This record gives sequence, C-alpha cells and structure tokens, in this order.
Amino acid sequence: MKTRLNSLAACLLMTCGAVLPGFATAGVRVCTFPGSPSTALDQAVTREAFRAAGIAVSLAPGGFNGTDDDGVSLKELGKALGHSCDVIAGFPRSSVADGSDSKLLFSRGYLRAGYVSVSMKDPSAKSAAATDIVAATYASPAQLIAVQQHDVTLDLENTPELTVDALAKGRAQRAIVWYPAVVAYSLAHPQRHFDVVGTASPYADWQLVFAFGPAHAALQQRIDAALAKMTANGTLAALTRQWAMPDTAKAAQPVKDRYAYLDGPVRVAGSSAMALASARLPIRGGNFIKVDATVGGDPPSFDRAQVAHGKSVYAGSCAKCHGAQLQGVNAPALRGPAFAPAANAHLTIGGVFGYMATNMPADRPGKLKSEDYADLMAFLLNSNGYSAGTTKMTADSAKASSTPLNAGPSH
Amino acid sequence: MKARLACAMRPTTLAMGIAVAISLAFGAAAAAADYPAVTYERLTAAQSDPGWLTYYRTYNGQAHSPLKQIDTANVSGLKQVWSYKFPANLKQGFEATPIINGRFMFVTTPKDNVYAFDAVTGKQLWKYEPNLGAESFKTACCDVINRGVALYGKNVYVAMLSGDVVALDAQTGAVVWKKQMFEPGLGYAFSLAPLALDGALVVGSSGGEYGARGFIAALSPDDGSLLWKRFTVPAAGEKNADTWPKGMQDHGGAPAWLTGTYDAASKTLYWGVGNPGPWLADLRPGDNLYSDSLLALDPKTGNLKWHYQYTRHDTWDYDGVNTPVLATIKYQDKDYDAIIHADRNGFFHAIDRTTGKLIYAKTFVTASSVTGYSADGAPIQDESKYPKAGTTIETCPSFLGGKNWWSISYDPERHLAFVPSLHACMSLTGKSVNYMEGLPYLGEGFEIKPEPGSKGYGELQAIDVNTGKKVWSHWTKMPWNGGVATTAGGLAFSGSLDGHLYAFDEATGKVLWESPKLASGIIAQPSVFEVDGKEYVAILTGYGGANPIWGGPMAKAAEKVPLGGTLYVFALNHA
Repeated sequence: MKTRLNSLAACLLMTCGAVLPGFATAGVRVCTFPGSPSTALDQAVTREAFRAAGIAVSLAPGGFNGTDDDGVSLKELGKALGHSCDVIAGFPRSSVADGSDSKLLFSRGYLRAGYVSVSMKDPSAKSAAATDIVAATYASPAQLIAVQQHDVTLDLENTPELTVDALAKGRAQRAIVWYPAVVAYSLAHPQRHFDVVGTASPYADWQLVFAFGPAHAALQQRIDAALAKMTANGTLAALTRQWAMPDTAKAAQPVKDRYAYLDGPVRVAGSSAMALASARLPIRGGNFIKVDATVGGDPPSFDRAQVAHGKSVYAGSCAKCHGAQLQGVNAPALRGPAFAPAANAHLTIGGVFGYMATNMPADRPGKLKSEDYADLMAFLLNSNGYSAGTTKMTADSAKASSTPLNAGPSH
Repeated sequence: MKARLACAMRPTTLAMGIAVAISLAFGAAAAAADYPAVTYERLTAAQSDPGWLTYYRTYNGQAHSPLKQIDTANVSGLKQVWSYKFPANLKQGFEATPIINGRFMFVTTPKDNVYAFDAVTGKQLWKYEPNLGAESFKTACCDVINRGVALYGKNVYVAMLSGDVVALDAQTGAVVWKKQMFEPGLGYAFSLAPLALDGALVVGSSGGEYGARGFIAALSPDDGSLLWKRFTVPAAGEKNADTWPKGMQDHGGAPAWLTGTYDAASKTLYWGVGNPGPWLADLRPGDNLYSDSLLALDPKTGNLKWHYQYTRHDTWDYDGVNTPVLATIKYQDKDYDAIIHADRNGFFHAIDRTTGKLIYAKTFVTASSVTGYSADGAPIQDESKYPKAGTTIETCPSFLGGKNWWSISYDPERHLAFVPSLHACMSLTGKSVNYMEGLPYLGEGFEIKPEPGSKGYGELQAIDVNTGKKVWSHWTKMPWNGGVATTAGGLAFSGSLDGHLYAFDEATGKVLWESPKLASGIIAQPSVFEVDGKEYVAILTGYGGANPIWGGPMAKAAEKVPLGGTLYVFALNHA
C-alpha cells in the first residue's frame, strides 16, 4: 500500500501558477510525509492549495534519505526541507506533542485525522476468539490509547496498514488505528466494511498540516490564507470528503481539548512525528506482546569522530558513576556482559538510547545536546565491539534502531 | 617451620610453644561457646536484650533501646572506642545497621561483603567476600548497597544483589548454604536485611525501576528451601488483577525492597510495597494493586489478611515500603493498636493494625500529588499532577519521597516518632516506553528542585503520634539521609551527610553531643547495645546510595563529601 502511494508520488510532477521568488523554476517542492496512508489526499490538497495561492508547485517523492520502515526521523524531515523539498504535506500534529526542539513552521490543519476504534461490519468475518483482542500500531499513539482500555488483550502490529489488516483477517476483534489508514485500506479493499467509533483519549486527536522550513514564514502565511479560502468556499470539504472522520467517530472524541499546543501555534516537535512512526518489530505470543529484539537489521552506523567526541562527553558527564573504564561504580558497568548479553539481548540500541537520552546523566537528565547523546551512543557501541563506519549516527537513527544490543569485545 | 626448628634446639621453648597452642585452642573453644544462639523466643523478647538482634532492633520496628547509661546529662562525654576502615576500593554507600548479639557485631558493606567484629575491641573476627560478578550490579537502581544481616540460630543471613540468600556460620563466616532466588541483571536484586521469624527467613525483592514484578518470600533458615513466595502484583485471574490493564501485571514492578515488621501477638507480618512500573501511570490505568501499599500477611503462608494503599495509580515513584512501625496510640481520645508510617508521598499515617483502616494521615513535608485522604481512607490525588506522554508536571515531594528508606525511631514512653525527612520537589515529563529486560522501565524524565520556602533539603523531625503533629525539627541545608536510634536515656542518635553523628535531646531536639568529623557522610542507622554492663553506640559512615546518583541539586550540595566506609563505636569514659 505504502509503496504504491509513494511510487505514485514519485510519478507526479506538476507545475501551475507563478513561480515564487527564491524558489527553483520547478516551483515550490512539496514532499509528502513518508509512509503516510493519506498521501493521495495530501497531494490533492497540495495542488489545490498552491493553485489557490497562485504558487507554482512540484510534488517531490515522499521518501527522504535516511527514513525507512524503522521510523520517520524528524531530523531527516528537517534536513529534507531544503534538500529534496521546501514543504512537507500531510504532517500529523497533535495537541499533546512534545514541543522540544523543532524549528519547523506549520499551516493550519486541513484534515482532522484522529485515532479511532474500528471493528468489522460483517460479523461473520469476526474472529471466534473469546477474548477481546485489540490491534494497535506499535510505538504509536494507538498503543497508548489501546493500553488504557479496560480488560483487553493487545495485538501490536508494525504499521497502520497491518493494524487494519489484523482486524480484516480476524487476528483481532477491534483495532485502534489512525483513521486515514482505515480510509486507505477501504480504498484498496472495497469489499471490506468497517464500523468506526471515536476513542476518548487525549492522544487521539490529530490534524494534517503543511510543514515549512523556518525560512518560509511568508509561504506559510500564503498557504494558510489559501486553506482559509478553500474552507470558506467548500473546496476543502469536497476534497477531503472521503477522508473525513464519520460523525460516529467525532462524537466520542474528547469534548474539550485538555492540552494546549505545547509548542506554540506554529511549531511542533519530535514525538508528534516520531510517535506516528512505525517500528519494524515482530510480534510475540502472550497477553501483552513484548518487543522481540532478536531481529532488527544492522545497527545504525556511526563514525570515528563521534566515538572520539563521545568518549570526551563520557569522561565529563558519565564516568563519575559508571567508571572511567565503563566498569561501573555506583551505577552499572556499560561494557561487556554486565551491560548487555553477548547474544540474544532483549534490549535494543534504540531502547538503550531512549533511556539514556531521557534519564541520563542522572544529575542533568535529558539536558545534553542530541548530538552529544548520539556521540555517546557511538562511544558505547564502539566500546562494546561495534565498528565505526563512515555515516554519522543521529539521535533519530539511534532512537529508531530496533537492533539488539549485544556486548562484544571492546574496540 | 622456623619455630619448630628453634623448639627442636631448645626444649624449654618447645614446652612454652605447646602451652601457647593449648591456650589458643581453648580460647577459640570459649569464643565458640560464647556465641548465643538467636532463637525466636529471644527475637520476640528483643526489647529487653542488651544487643541489637534484628534490623529494627525489635519486631515492632521501633529501633528504641531501653539502655540509659548514656543519657542527656552525660552524653557530652561520649568518646570513640574503636573504628574499622573498610577497603578503600569500596566507594559506594554504606547503608547497613550494625547488628549485635552478645559481643559479636555484624555489618555488611556495598557489594555484599559481610564482616564480623568483636563489638568491644573492634577486632575483626572474619569476613565473607562473595566477589559478585558485574551482572549483579546492573539492575541496582540506587547504588550497589546492602542494609545488613539477619541472625537466627547460629547463622548470619545476607540477601545479595545477585539473588543469592546466604547462610554463614556466625563464628567462622563459613558458608552453610546458599540459595539463588533469581538471575542477576534482568531486573531483580536484593538490598534489604532479611527478617528472621519463627523458622522462616523473609526477604523481599528490589527492581521497581526495571519492571521486575515484586515478591516477598520465606525460606527455611536450615537449608534455604522455599516456604512460600507471594507476588505483590496479582496474576491474571487473581483477586485485584483487574486493577491493571491485562498483560501489564507481568512487568508491574511493585517491589518489596525494605524489611518489614512483625506482630508476634497476632502473628501478622507487615510489609510495604513499592512503586508500580513503568513510572508513567498513563500506560497502566487502574489502581495498580498492591503497589504503594502496606500488606498484612500470614507469616506461615504469605496469604494476605488486608492491604492499605497509600497512593493509588502512582506516577511519582511514591513507594510504600517505608517501615510500618507498631505503636499503641491515643488519637482523639481513642486507643488504637496502630501502625505508624512516614510515606514517600509526604503523609504521616496511623493505621489500625487489626483492620487496616486509616486512623489519620497528616503531611510532614509539602505534598501536592496526594492532597489528602477521604473519610474511608482512600488517597485523594490531583489529576493535574499526572504527566502524559509529552507533557510535564511539577509536584512535591520528589520521587525520592518526603522520606526514603531511612529508619525512623519510636519512643513509646514519649509517644514520639523521629523522622528523617526530605524537602524536595520535582518536574516529571512523560515519555512513551516499552519494557526491555534489564533496562530501566520508567517512561518519565525527571528533575529535582528545592521545595519552595524550605529552610533546606534535610529535616529531622519529632512527631507526636497521638496527634500527628510536629514537636520539634532540626533543619539542614543538605538532605538528612540517616536513620535514627533512640534510647531510654532520652537521646535520639542520628548521623548527617556532614560526617557527624549527633545526639539529640528527644524532648527538645537540642543537639547535646556531636561526634568529631568522621571519615565520610552518614546514610546508615546507628545501633545501640550493651556488653558487660557498658553501653555503646555504633555507626557506619560511607556516603552513597540514591542521593549522589539521582539527587540533582541535592547531589551537588553533597558533592564534597568524601567517600569510603568506616565503622565507629562510641562509649563513655574513653580517652
């Protein structure tokens, strides 16, 4: 599904209206959010909004360098804004997003795209299982919402498409999933019919917006004005009709927004985008499906300069508790089997990185620069038998890594 | 070899040599005979014992000695009798309370070494060094510490970070048996002093920060065989399992990491339970029993008689493990057989120990997450103090609590409880998290901040248990992380991070004596004992534990405190 949409995006390249000063003659380059099920809609809204604003546009491929099935990297999105595109369409924003470190600008929302609870319309297609199994997308708001429902067994799936598929194939009785994924699935499988209701959770409510690089405030204002016009004259409603959440779903959404935008009206952050990213993690049996770290591909690459810099950051911020030789003092060792097993580790590079970047160093938790955390991770990996390569590790590539961390001999 | 040659040449010396050998052998035999077996009867009557036989001195948790040779009038003459410096490579926290039986003293060090001393002379009798592998130190949240031994029969018992419970011969240190309760490094650890009951040795697990489902277990003191094991989080299908989302129980934390107390009359074991996992409460809707609760258990089976939950659906790391001390109180003209308890959440509780019903709960530090208790004893909590994934809240007390594990002392004559308390607040930021074996399971970032308007981080306070009100307080800029021991001499002994052991007047809080500056800061509890008619006070120094790791600005405040462990013993009339 995703591949089809992305290749569709790659094929589309259209220009209309006048070229905005400062942009290449091909017009403003608009990418779509990688892997999003709403790509077709995002492109349609892009064409119409830019036409209404009188700005030439070219639709660039949705996939950027450095993003893959392991997750969408906000850093990479930021980088893509400038290299491969000027605007990202279909950027999901939430009122509970963590507003930490993005400098992006955002348009008003053009589609309310929330998390919904979905079941099959045709009862015969439902699974015969006695327990209430709920499918949710791993490491997404769907998981947060699903876990808050009482007396359910979770079936965690890797992508929104697979989450809907789990329901369609009878692996689950219900699915908590992002509504655009339901629409996309229904378009691809017209024989499937779903019942959709809302989920009353602060994590459920999302909007699709355009994201701009920090230098494009003027462009952002023009697109906002165009979207306002499209809302007023009904164009937007017509374009999004197929994608709009049914009233049954809207009704159950939280009546009042409990959380203001933490990131201000035109800024967003990491976790809103990260949270929607799907991780490539297989499913295990049992009631609560745990992360199985036995597969996950290659570890993220890091380079020698990072190891060297990570070593100096370590000496200044970590050695006091973990020891100058990573041997452990009053905090655990960070090398060898006392840090991670030599094989079959149940912890991943991303898991270790996530804990470190949130809670370490203990006297200044989360206060280091994200580059320093990435360099520390490079130093830790190198100290546990991982070789340096030529590509730099980023905080996002480290965090997204589902590769098990097995401690080998030091380098 | 050399001596024998000499003896062979000189018959008289040979004779002398034999005489010396005989007297040495006799001496050893005499010492062996001297070790008084620790029976259940002695433990039940420990209040009148001259020693300090069990972690809290007595089953009731009062840590109050009847000794009064040292009193408010003469304490100023207290002098050091002996000291012992532990190996310099042990730079971690010394948290153990010295345990004394007869003239045998036992202490543990970081990394689970056990030392035996002659309590009067300071002569080292033996040491046991398990030399644990580094895996054992992997899932110790708050330093690689040990809080002390239990005595039963002729054995000394230690529960180790590695999951081993070990019985040592009290006279030789030889291993009698060893039983491993879990594999180290996956989440569990032991850090507590075991509790010896009638034919049972009770231990509880640490690991609330690693998603390790907590348990309390009883072993046979004879061979370590398991008598019972009770998980603190009900399994699917068990009563109260529905206070968790399905599947979240498996890594629900709720450790039982501090020694409990015991009522020999009603045969009830009281044991506190710690925080649920992960920290971020949003991931586990429900009351999350029996996290942050007091359990009343049948000591023969581990079956639950009742429970009382101090904090429900905790997201602030407000462990309920702090000591449940048995006390007879009179509140609003009514007498109660009560449990008194100073909780991490900032409330001082009195609970009816027969029924488990709350008698009163009053704040002893600023508390804004739990704001009060309903008439039926349920905590009232501020919903706005729950972080969501991506939001930040500010609240008090901090995750280290209004009081952490530091033992309180209770003087039944004066009905005063002496409570080392911590004035700190925090911000908490929610983050999504998944369980991974061996990795902390929190889902929250945090930062400690001073309590607004507070005179410092540390306060040793005396609370009248009949009213729940503060009688006096002793403030310090640095946290007060040491336990308290009181005596019938009217004294409260407690040590500070500043490296001094203090004797307070129980009635007024006035400092009547302070030790010379000792080799390090104090985070342990003193013990008071008598040998041959003379009263002694023992204390371990050796800064470490949670504060230097997690204390943020409080760690900064204490960063100049020297590290390393030393054991000190004080008495009157010593030069």
